[in-house]
Amino acid sequence: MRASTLQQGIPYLRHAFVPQPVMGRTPDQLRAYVDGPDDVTGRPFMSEVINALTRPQSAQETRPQTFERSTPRFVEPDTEENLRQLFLDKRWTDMLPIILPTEERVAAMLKGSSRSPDTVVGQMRPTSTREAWEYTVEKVAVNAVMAGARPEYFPVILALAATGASARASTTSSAASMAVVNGPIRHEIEMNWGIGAMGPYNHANATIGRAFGLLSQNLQGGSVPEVTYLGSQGNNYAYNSVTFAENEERSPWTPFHVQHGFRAAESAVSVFGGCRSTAFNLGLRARHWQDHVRNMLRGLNPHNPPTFVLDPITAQQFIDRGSFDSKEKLIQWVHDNATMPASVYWDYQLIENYVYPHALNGIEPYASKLQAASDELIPIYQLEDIHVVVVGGETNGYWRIMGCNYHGTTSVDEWR
Amino acid sequence: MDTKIRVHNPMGYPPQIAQKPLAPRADDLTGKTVYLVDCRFDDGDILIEQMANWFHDNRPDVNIEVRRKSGVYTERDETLYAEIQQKGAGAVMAVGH
Repeated sequence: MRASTLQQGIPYLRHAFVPQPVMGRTPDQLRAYVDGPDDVTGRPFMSEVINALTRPQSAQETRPQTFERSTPRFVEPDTEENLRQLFLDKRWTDMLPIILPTEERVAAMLKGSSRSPDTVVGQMRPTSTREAWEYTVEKVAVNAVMAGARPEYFPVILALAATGASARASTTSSAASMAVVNGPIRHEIEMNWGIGAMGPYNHANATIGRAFGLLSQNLQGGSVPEVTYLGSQGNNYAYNSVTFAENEERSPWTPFHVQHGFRAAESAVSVFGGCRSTAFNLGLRARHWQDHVRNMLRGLNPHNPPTFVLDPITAQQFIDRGSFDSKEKLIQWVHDNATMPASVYWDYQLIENYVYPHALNGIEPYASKLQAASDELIPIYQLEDIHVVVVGGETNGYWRIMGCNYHGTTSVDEWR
Repeated sequence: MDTKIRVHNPMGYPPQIAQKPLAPRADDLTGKTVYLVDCRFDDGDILIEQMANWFHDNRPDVNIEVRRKSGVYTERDETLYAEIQQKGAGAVMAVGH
């Protein structure tokens, strides 16, 4: 709380605290919180509230101040052992061993791109309400070295940084990211889109994804529990941000980046956020496949739209069973079949938090959805939020649905 | 093993922060209006309702306006904030889950 208010330029904003969480407490329990002590100071909570509202402002509170902050290019020279400990203590790592970013290693990484080291790549923040930090090509290179990436991967990592999408969102919901690489760069750096592509079996997949996480936490100003990270449970996907290449060669459909405006001969990386929920299944049964897919879709949270992550075997099955000869046709079917009664939809906490206010403000299509009768089946997801990616080595027809939000697709070639 | 080496700092560049002033404070709340604002965090409306009850029981001399912020909790409600600035002696924003 105090870190957030400092960033907003109100470091002396007055607070009073009831115990957490408030969610799920009865009115009587919350009245006891109000009548009880402030959870931080121990003094009566409402006395703290009245005091905050009426206490005259101090000179410190009213004096105009500017808080200068900067980041040095280097840390103080030290032994390798001490520097490793420093990086851990500063929470600059993911708690796994890192490659120390020496001048030589960073210089070598910078050779992976023609861009000048001092080129500003973008800005990033842990959440929309926090300040954005800025970073250069060199700063991205430092984090790429730490992750163990090779210089030839650097254009992909720069493209990920250029999205401005953080793989270390501070949300209490413990979100992770997903990154999908398309185009010739997949071959050039020997990424994996076959057996084990989403697991720890390929150097490029592993270290590009890890670099995405490290650069996010460090370039956005940290991912420190209770300060810049509040994920209640955390998320194991965050270790390498579910990074893989699409299996364009065995997919029966248009590559993902081509769907989003790129030519097949161009290389691009697509970023998804909010990765938490995953549903999985084996193949599509002849008799009840539609029911099975509907059940999977109902198992996601309505605020996390589905991205189908299909082994080529299952992609072909969707064509065989449903005649979906394009991703768009499958997406339309998902939209039309992912439904639930309106009253059930609007009662979800995340819908209450993030969608209902838009409906009240007349924003479509939410406002129209709000007019539905309570037992009317309404679409859970917006058509444009549903996506399909093909990956896997065809050892079997296992497939999954990732609940996540598509952020965008960025050119890798621009960062070569 | 004790050789010192120099390595890069991996952190990005933070923006400068300029302090904003707090809103003026009332000496006393008697006869004045205090806004209790539900910012749409989970069940924050129930907490705000209980704070309003506290004022009713303990400080009936204070006029309480309970409001729910428009939009999701990451957005500003400029209309409400303008009203508070014009009519309120203070506001309590209920933030957190």
